[in-house]
Amino acid sequence: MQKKAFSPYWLLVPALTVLALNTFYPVIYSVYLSFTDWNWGKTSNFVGIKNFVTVLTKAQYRGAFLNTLVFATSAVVIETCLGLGLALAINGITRGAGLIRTMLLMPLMVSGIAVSLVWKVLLDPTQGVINYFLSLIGIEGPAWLGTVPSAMPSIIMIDTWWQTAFSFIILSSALKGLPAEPFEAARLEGASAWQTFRHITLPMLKPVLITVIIFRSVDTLKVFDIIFGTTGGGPMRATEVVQTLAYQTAFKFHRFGESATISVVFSLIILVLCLAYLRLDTDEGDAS
Amino acid sequence: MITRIHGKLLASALALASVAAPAFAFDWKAQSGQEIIVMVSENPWTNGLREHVAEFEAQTGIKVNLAAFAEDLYGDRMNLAVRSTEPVVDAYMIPMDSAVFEQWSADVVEPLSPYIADAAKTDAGYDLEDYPAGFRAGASFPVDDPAAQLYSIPISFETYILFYNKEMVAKYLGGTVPATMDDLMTAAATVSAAGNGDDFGASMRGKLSAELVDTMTGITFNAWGGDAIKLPENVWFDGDWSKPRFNDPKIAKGLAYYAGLLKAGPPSVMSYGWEDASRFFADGHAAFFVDASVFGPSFENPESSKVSGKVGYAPLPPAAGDIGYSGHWSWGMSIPKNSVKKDAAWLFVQWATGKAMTTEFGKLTGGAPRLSSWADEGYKAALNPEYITAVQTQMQNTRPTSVFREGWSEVVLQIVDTIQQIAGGADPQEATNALQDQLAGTFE
Amino acid sequence: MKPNFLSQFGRYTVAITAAAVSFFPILWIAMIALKDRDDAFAMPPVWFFTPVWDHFVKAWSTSGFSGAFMNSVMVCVMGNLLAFAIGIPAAYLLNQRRVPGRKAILVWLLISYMLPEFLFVIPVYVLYQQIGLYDTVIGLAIIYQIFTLPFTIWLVRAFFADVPASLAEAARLEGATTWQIIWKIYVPIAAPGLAATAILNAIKMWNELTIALALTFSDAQTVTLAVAGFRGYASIDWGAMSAASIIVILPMALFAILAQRHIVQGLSLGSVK
Repeated sequence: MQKKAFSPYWLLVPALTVLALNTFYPVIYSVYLSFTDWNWGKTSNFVGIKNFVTVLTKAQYRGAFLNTLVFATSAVVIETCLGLGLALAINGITRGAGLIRTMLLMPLMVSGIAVSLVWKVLLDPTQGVINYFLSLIGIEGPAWLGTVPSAMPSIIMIDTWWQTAFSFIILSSALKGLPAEPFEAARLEGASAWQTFRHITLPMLKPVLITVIIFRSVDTLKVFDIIFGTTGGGPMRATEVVQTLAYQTAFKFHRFGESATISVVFSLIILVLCLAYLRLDTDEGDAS
Repeated sequence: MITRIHGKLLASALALASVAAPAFAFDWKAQSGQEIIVMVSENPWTNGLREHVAEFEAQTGIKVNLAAFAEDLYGDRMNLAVRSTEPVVDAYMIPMDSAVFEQWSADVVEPLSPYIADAAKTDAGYDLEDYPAGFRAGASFPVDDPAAQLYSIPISFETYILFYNKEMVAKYLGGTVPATMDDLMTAAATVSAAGNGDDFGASMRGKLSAELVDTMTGITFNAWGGDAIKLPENVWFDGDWSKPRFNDPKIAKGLAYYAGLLKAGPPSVMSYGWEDASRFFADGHAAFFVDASVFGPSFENPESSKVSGKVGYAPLPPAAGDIGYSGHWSWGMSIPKNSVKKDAAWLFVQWATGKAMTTEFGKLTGGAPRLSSWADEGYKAALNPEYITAVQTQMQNTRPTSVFREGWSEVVLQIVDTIQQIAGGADPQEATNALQDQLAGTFE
Repeated sequence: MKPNFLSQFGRYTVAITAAAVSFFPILWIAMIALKDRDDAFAMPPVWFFTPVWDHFVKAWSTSGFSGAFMNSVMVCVMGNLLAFAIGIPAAYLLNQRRVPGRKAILVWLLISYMLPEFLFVIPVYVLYQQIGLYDTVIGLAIIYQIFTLPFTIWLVRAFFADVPASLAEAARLEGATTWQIIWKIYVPIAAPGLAATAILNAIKMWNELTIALALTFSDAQTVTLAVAGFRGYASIDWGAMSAASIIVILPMALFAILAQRHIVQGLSLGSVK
């Protein structure tokens, strides 16, 4: 045990200083802005809670918050399930596992802007190779990003391609780290594969699953690049999300106060979600 | 308009020649040794600038650092740089529309009139009258004020014309180029119906973005016809911000034309930005393309286009009567108030917008904003003759597409929503009625 | 541990399909970069062609591109060094369960990670201009700590938890300071995990768009922004833009090839306690 005189708190000081500078100042500044009508010019008046009323009541904002939620929920559920399935499948592979894992990791290395570029080309209904492949097997492919019903599913599909590797790699590592004894015992007792998965693998993976879900939820709620780069929020606002709206409101409409309000409200929503997830973790918030 | 001003131009050129010896010599070297940062958007004009900027450096002894950015992100970075409290750049390209108006309102852009009026800072041969009055009006504030100052000088302009694929017009339409907007709608639909999913009637920008405002406004002007339009409200308001007229039948008709072209476009046209729409046309998949004249030179370049030599150019076909109306829009050069090297920056702006360089860069953009360039043999030889005729004809019937109002681009997105609704099958009049209701009171 | 609910054949089918789906779009963009303009968007696709390398040469020699590439490398190196220098001691301390306020700090880290980019952009832009960090690589490396620092601390803490406490105890009896224990005992043992952390940090920093857009101008422009620069008005250069995208993916792909084993090993060390 450590000696009584030793106070190791200085170990935290540099990290907390950087953390404080990087979070306190922008948050305070943004909260301040959210009570003004600053237009990136000479106008900057205190407007009380006007921006908050706008953000919380305007139909367009409700639509964007709803789209964000639909996107994040779908993407997280699909990517986590897919990532877990792939991890389970590939963990049992002996030859060529390295090569396969490397290829699976590739999409993660591509920036959102490049992802948009390549998927717009791939998904183009007339010039794109995906609908060409579909036509070879007699299917007339949809217009993907071009119509209201198909645009959001297309974005979710793009994100699934892009980010499933994150869930896969973390869960794959976790599987490798599981102790062998419980599985051995289950085998001796004649448990089925499903029983083993349900009663041994899943409970042991729970803390890691929660970590994956938290990080992916935060990332997907903040989706921006792949929508900015493909549909811009259209057609007819079908893919408009909170971050594209915050961007437009600030940089295109020059309503910085309102944009700051969007970010502040949005931060609070994400915070509540994160705290709720942490509660799920029985280990008093220790989700590592 | 062009021809009328040609005469005037000739007269002023003669007048200039007769006073060949200025009162005192203008010194291009006055700011020698300075180093300036010029912020530009990636654009054919910028390619020209890269080739010629060494000439400016040699002539003035000023070192120029070019900071070039993609169009997508340019507007944001430009505003960040110009609205900054610290100096970031010394001269910059700016869209001569509500962007320059908003910067003028925010008091961040330097008036250029005092520099032009100062014989020690501006060469006597710098001829402002060489620009059509409408171009200068687009950056003179306050609007309609006799004491208005000029805040930006055009470096290029574009007008919205009809591009057509001659082979496809021959194959599907018996070689007949539509003579009216209604014919164009029918023709585009005919090609798409007969095209079997490979060939389409039109390629257009359809992505939810403020980028398509100028093409859309040009087409609306065409439906509007010859009736007067007043700035700063433009066609969208009845001379007063409290009187929006988005549901005017002529505006509904204009938006329906745009929607009709979208409908004749490929299935994912609503995710197309200009790069997708122009590529689709350049690859030979679309019979018609209505967009900025600046695309012309790239369609004639075999390296970037499969249709070079097969493109026809025409003014927008009339919606009614004999005249097809359209819009025009310009990039300009300005100097930010936060610059500490404004005199050197002005020498650059002056050089880049002078007659020689305007003509030179115009060969690349296909839209030299100075009238003298259009009389230049070298300029005419560099461009497709049909293109020149189409642009010059169109230029006689264009209006600026700008609306000078903070927050205008948000309304643009709502107009785009409406166009997308009409393309999706909504009745144009009902859709614009809804738009009118939605926007009532926005600008009061 | 072999939950045999999939036959080996089934596993390979799933694995190869997933690998192909993951890799195909990248292959496709590489093909656009290697085709001439006529073949690039031809449908049906042109599968056999003579590769054209001009686009790569053009992309790399485009003004500002190689500089932006180096900037991004520097941002990743500095961002990681900073995150490790301040994150490792913090992770060590936070691993000691008795630390009061430990949970609050962990939540605070999570908050830092979750704050949306647009909350930072304008305030930090204003601040950086005043203190001279605007358009600098170090400025970016510092602001990127909003996500690298939480990520680093969360992961490193988990790796440290696997280091047997007896080792530290033995060292302390021999008179080692806490500082020495961290860097001489914990860090070497957790090295594979640290490598995995560094790679995941680098990927995020390398590909970040929004903050880099607002906080850099030309001197510190990053490579992700430079790729977008090929979208010039009325003259997009698809070949060069695709080539640039491939050049940007390459270093990260190389990382993936060299380090995938370490990533899995490293992460598996700390993932379950």
